[in-house]
Amino acid sequence: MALIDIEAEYAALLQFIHLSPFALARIDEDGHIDLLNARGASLLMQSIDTIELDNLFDLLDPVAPELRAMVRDFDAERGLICEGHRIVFERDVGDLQVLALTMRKLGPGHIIVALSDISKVDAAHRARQLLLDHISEGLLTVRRDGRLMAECSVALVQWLGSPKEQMFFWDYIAPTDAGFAASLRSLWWMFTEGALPYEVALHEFPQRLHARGIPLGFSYRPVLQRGKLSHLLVVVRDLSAELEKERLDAEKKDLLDAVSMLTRDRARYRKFLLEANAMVAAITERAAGDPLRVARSLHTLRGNALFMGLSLFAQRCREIEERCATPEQALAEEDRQSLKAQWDALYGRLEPLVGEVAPGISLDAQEYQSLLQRLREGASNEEIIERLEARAIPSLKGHLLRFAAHARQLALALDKPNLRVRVDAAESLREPGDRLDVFWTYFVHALRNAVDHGVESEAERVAAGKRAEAELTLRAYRNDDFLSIELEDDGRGVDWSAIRDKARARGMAAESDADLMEALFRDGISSRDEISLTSGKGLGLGALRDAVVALGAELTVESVARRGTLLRVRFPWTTLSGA
Amino acid sequence: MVELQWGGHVSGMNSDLLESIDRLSIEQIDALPLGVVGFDRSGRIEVYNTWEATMAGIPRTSALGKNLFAEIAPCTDNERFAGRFREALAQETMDIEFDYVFTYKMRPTPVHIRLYRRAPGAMNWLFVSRR
Repeated sequence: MALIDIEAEYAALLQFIHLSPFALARIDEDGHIDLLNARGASLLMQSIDTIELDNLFDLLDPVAPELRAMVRDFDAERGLICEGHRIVFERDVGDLQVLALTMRKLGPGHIIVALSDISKVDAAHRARQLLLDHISEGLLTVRRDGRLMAECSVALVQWLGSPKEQMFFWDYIAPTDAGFAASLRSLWWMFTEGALPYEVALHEFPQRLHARGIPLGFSYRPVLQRGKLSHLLVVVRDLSAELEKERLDAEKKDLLDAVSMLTRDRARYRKFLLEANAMVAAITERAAGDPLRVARSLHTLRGNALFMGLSLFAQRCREIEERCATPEQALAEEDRQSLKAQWDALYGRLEPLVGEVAPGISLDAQEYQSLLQRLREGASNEEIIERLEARAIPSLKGHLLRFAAHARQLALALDKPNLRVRVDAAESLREPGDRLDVFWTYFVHALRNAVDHGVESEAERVAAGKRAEAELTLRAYRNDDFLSIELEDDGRGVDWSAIRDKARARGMAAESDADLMEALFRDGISSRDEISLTSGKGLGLGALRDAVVALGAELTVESVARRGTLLRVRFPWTTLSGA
Repeated sequence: MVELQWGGHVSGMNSDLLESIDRLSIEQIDALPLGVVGFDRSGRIEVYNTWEATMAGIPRTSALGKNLFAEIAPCTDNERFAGRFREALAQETMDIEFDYVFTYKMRPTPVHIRLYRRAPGAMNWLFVSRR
């Protein structure tokens, strides 16, 4: 039996510990150093600039005063007290020496300490963090299982708070935007399963949310390892500036549209502007009263804004409308204020352009000469009166032509370039007085309804065996003692069964044709479910009918499924002429 | 004959001893009551006395030929110790004294250190005494 050379074995083990590249020490609960290897002595003397290595806690007190408490508060008899605890010595600005300290308690009076200099690793880490702390984008990495990695850029922390390691991506987003989070969660598995190409799956991911009032845009980049998904890099950008620029561009375009509209008919535009101003005041008054009336005004305001070329403002009206689940719901105070502010800004820019329109008539030189000529030739009084009236009172046809232009614009915006709009009215037919102004305000609703709901797309028409080109006719004629204004389309007609269902759902009578007609005009009933920029919610026709009835006129709708709709308003001539 | 009667502190070594150190036999060096290590400019150990071998728990035979800073006393491998030595290499002679902590058999041991070289190209000496 070979004798073991105990002394040689001991020397070898001693050398093993002595030459370890890690600093090792044994201390007691008070920090007294009992055993220390060479690397330990070297590291401590170098880091702390001392030649007294008696007590570890005293030595590290200036940079890690917490160690004593960590040991004192460690209740168990044995176990890991800390692992890789970061201890930082600041050598110079930006130059740090960083030690990682691990303490394991072996029993009473015995704590093994391992120290390593992680300055280089830490510097690399800090360089990355420096980047993350100063980049304006939000950066975040998500693991394949949907959990977050702890590192992220400071911008993200400011917007969405600090992510916790191991947290699910969607749980991190949920407090800011629950809908965004839910959609992330449901799409995640589709994305990681790889059934679709990653880019295609990511295309479905939600991309925008608002955090603390800041619009944020999300983009996603899959990180692949050997062709397989390992992580998802999420890049978040503040879209405020971009959106603001878009908004300014849209505002500029709106103003151009508005100016081109108002130069065509300043007087008419001015009326619209004043009317809209009154509506905004009514809507945004603190005690605005009946929510239904407010909803109607808002709806009409939206239509008129669109007609005036103010599509951004119309968009704003629509957003507010959408936020009210039912027309009976009152507007939020915040919406009132923002609507008022936005309108006031617009009004302030447009009103000076419209200015005061002096009541009177203007004749150009040619017309003036022609009129003089007819007087010299002894023309009848009736003819002269007729010619002067023609200058003083705008023709109905001219007015209908402007609505026709608006209808064409709407059709293009709704992707229905197949719409032909005709105006059918005698040149000599004029508005008797200005009583009709109110009517025109609400007539926009009917026009939008017709273009949006009535007129079909080319494909739908062809599929139904109809001519590809749809036709919308604006018609005005005088018949004995009545002025009739008609709007006729050859579109899909009113969906009476949808109206019936909606009416029943609201507990209204829905048996006779008269019941259905009543339901059609009732606020809040529309044959459509969604609101588009041009129409929806079923508020418009009711408002139109009320305006018509207030003028002592009557409104009728004739509609045949798949054939089209005819809306007719009949005004008694006497009420219009102010007699 | 060199007078070896002296109190055992690196500072107390008389000039005769220092002058003759390069010529002393290993027996004479072993008789000194302090640690003595002789090494070349790269740190390769050529002399390692019994006092030092006993304190460090490293047999003389294991130490000879090894590198002082990397293999025998890695606690010296920093600016405070090895740095001073490297700096002094550029000088013709060397005589530096400072306090330090050695980890003899893993016990932190406060020591006085004297680094000495009599002439250019001569042996570099490390003298150690306990504080």
